Amino acid sequence: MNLIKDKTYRLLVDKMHEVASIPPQQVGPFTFLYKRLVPYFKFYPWRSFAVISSFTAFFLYLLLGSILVRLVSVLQFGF
Amino acid sequence: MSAPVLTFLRLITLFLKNTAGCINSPYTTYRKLADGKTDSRQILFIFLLALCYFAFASAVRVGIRHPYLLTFKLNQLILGGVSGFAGMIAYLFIMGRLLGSVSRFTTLCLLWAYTLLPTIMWFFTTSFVYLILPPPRTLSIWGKLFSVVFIAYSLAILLWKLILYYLTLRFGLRIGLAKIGAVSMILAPIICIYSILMYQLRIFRIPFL
Repeated sequence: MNLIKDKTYRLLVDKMHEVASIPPQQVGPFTFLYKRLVPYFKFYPWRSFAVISSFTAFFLYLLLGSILVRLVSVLQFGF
Repeated sequence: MSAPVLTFLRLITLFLKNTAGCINSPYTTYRKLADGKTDSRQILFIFLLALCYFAFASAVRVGIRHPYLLTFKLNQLILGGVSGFAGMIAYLFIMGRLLGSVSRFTTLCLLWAYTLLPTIMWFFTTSFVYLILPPPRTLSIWGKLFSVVFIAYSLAILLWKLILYYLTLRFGLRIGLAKIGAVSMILAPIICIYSILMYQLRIFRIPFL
């Protein structure tokens, strides 16, 4: 009875329900890689976004050159 | 303080807290939003933000000297925005039912509404930048630098949007990555048709989803 009233116990039960509500993600042979990558997006999303988007933008500039500048002009008219 | 004022303050606090959560820790926030215990009326603030953007975009595009055209443009944007939102909710709800998910309609609305935050943010900043630095961009060093920064910013917002989209399907429909992929594959051509339609009707050049 005391255990049921215990705050830590209730928090643990809530946490267990929360985790059990959706089955853990499995992606076959890539599960290990998935589990390694996901925490970066779960806990530090903007750090990951900044790194990925900066590198991609720079790479796109090297690949497309002036086309990227034109693309930005089109996007600026896109709102 | 009266009850409506207290409710308003509670809802706006909830909205601001969840908005900060969507920025800093979207995974935890979406898990909490999906448990169905939160007040779903908080999405009114997201709709209000979208409405502010539509009013601002109408003023930028048409100008404030033509009240008739301004009202027409505003109504067009609202219609386009509402149809996109309703279409997405309907699609996700139907897919959820087909996949045997026990998703609640209000939870789906709440989760999808929060995915509009990156959209509103991108559209707002793009229209502000349009006013400050009107296109076209030149091939000077500053033009190139601006282009790279703008693309990087747009990609970061797109990644944020994709994460929120993924979490909507994961927690809203309670499905795994394979099914999320399948739902997205069917959704992609629908979004293409919607985008073309919005472009041809001169409502959105880039879909407001």
